[in-house]
Amino acid sequence: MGIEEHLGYNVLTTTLEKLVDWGRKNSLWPATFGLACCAIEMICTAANRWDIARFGMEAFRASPRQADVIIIAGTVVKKMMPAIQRVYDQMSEPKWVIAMGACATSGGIFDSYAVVQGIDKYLPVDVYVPGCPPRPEGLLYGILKLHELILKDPFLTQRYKESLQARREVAA
Amino acid sequence: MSDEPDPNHDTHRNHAAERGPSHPSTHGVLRVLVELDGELILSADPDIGYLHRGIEKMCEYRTYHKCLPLMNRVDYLAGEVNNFGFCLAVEKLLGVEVPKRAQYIRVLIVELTRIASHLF
Amino acid sequence: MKQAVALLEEKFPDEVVEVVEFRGDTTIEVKPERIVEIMTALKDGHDTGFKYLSMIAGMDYSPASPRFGVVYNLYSHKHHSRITVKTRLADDLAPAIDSVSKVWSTAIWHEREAYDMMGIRFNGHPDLRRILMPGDWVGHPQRKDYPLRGE
Repeated sequence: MGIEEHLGYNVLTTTLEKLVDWGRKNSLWPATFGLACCAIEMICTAANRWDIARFGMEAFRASPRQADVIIIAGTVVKKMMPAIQRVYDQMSEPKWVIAMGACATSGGIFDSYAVVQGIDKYLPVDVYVPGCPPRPEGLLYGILKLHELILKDPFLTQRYKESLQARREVAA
Repeated sequence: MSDEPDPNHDTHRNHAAERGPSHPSTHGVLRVLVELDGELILSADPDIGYLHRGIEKMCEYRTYHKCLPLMNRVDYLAGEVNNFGFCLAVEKLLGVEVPKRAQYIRVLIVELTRIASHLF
Repeated sequence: MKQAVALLEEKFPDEVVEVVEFRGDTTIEVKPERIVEIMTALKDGHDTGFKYLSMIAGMDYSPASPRFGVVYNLYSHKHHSRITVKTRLADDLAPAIDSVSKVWSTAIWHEREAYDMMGIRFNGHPDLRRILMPGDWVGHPQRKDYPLRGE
């Protein structure tokens, strides 16, 4: 079909958007944000049995400026919230958030005065991984769902549509 | 203008730094406000409370059995050790006699979780 | 433990309110006015030697009055014995007691927690500020009239 028939088997054609999305999802670097019990499961996911390095994510960057995804693992306490907000703001675009565990999703079993009832009150969450704590396979499934989300990310087509819209509005 | 340094001039200004609650050296949250002189730490003031979840107050609203999952998460590295302490306290209050087999099983589980806690 | 009771009854007979022995654990209730002297006597006494302070807890006994209390758990390495010392504070609205941080310096953090959670002021404490809640929190969370989900 078209040019690909003539090119042969050693040339692939794709769109820039798909290529960049593929590159982004294959090397998502998480920012270390283990707070409580789910952090232990996250450490186990990074260990040898449920290897997270197969997905290119073994480099847990301490500096948020070098990280793509922040995995909020553990109970979010109101005293800790400004620190989380600062770390999230320091991450550079594109960035994603995984809320791991029941406490980050909705406060978990801790329905008390000191706990934020869900991190999505403050940060835009992309994937929720339920469990208390979720097994490493559960976290890996959540990460794979995030990969699917990133593969479908229409950031270039979105920008093209927005600029087209702006040009139409100017012309009209 | 002599070239000798003025002995009254403070050549070191102590550097106040903050090792924030989220840091890469260990899991868990602890904030330490340190005052540094080069690499020497002059004073360190820890700041805690970043994982205070109100477990003590929540236990007031629950029966003894329902407190056990909360106790598990107090020290999440060695979960059953906390449960063991809680159960011992409750059994002492109620005067409950625990059978021998249960005592042996409890000690086995607690020692296994102690090992798990020391591995992290 | 018996030596501790005997020591207190000998040196501070007016301060001891009640001695309770329950399933091998001794609890002594004392009046709060001379708490520092009582603690120093327990720590330095030859037969007692309670050099380790395990815990200080603020207590809220509401609706009973007097409402607030402080509980000290002491341990003696020499004699392998534990003891609990309790006090009830007279003032319900502004509870205050002397700080034992000169006797055991670990009391500094324990008393900060009792202040943070219950609102009990400790006279003579070197650094009384909130420890578990954020610095600008209003209210004392573990009081019985504080709602579980916060205000």
